[in-house]
Amino acid sequence: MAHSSSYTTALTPPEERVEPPVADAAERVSAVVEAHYDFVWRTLRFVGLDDAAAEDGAQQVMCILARRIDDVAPGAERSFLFSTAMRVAATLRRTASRHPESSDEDIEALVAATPSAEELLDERRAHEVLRRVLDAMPVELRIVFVLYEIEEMTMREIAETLGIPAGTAASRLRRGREAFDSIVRRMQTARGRHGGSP
Amino acid sequence: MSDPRRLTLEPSSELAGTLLRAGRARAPDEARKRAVLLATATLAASGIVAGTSGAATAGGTVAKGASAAMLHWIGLAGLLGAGAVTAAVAVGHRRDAVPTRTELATPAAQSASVPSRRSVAQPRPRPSVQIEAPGAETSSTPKPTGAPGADLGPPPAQPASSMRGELSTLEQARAMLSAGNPARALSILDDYAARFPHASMAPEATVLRIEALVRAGDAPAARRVADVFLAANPDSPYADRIRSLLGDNP
Repeated sequence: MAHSSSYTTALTPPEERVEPPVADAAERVSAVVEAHYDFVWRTLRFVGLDDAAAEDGAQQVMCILARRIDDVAPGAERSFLFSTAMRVAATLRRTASRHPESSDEDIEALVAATPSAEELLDERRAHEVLRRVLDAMPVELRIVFVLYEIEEMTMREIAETLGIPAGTAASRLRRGREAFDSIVRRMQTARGRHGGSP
Repeated sequence: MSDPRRLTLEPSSELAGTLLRAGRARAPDEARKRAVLLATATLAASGIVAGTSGAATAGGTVAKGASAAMLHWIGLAGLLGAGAVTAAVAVGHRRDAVPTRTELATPAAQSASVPSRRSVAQPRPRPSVQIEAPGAETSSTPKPTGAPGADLGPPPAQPASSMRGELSTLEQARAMLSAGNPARALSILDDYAARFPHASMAPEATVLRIEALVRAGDAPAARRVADVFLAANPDSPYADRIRSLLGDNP
């Protein structure tokens, strides 16, 4: 992501600050959107929005970023975007189509429909299966799990982004891993019994 | 205490590893992404035409207007679907089309001298782009209509590097205006028109040009450019700003 001298503004005492040129803000917005749009979109999908709602949500998030770019400290862009995405997702869930919270019956259906190894060579298919597995996890565990295992944020970043103690973040990751592994083990067992579904 | 090893590096099973590695396999629609990139950059850049201290009120109007323009583009993209987003963005720009040489050579314009390159905001043809309604047969590339023999397609989606170049150039023009050098600003805007024949920020460049012409004392030229622009874009979010520059607002 491109940076310019204006990014030091946030670190400068207010009385010494010189307002950065507006075009600099526009450049920064462009750079942030380009760097993190996919992350925002994936986040919205992983918290349960379908493709169309995730697209709508991503553009809402970026609109908010554009309006508030001067309030976002350099280096804190992804955290800002994630927090904004969570709020936007909460609003969209009330209106857009979404995957409902998974019940035990849904997990059984997911396990019963485990694709074969050959089918999972198709990355898109594997991604959809992953999404269903994640949908089956409690959302607070799912968020930490996704941010760490898929988005590859550090535990410190995750704790700061979510506003939770480091110990809580670590506990949610551990429990998220247990939940993920539990579902995957059941899928493996089902695959072994039935050879996967066509 | 260091972070635990990621599961993608040490999965509990082959199936777990396969699923996790597919975590980034899906990507958002690229056309929609480009539309958002363009729209958010324009929203942030709306302060460019707000500019100098003497335009605080107009700047607020412009910023609000630019937001409305952006929301229009996004709304249009949402209505038409991802496949037509690039064209929708092009139409969004075309709704603020800049005057062509032909349009400037109207009877109103011909009463003055033949417009020089400095008076022409963007010498290029303006295609008429048909956008299909949702549910109708759509095409990601709308069929252009225009003068016979003209092969007018929608301009290509601008890469982010071009957008940054446009913004940087317009910033320089704005800086020259702020420094009291409208002639230099006009020269920069001529350079902008030459370097970016499919400029994403052509409407913003037009507003800057009008302001530069006013400050250079060439009110007739400013009005010619403004008249053509406003005739083509009566609902432009920059209309009030332009009228204010010309002294037409009460």
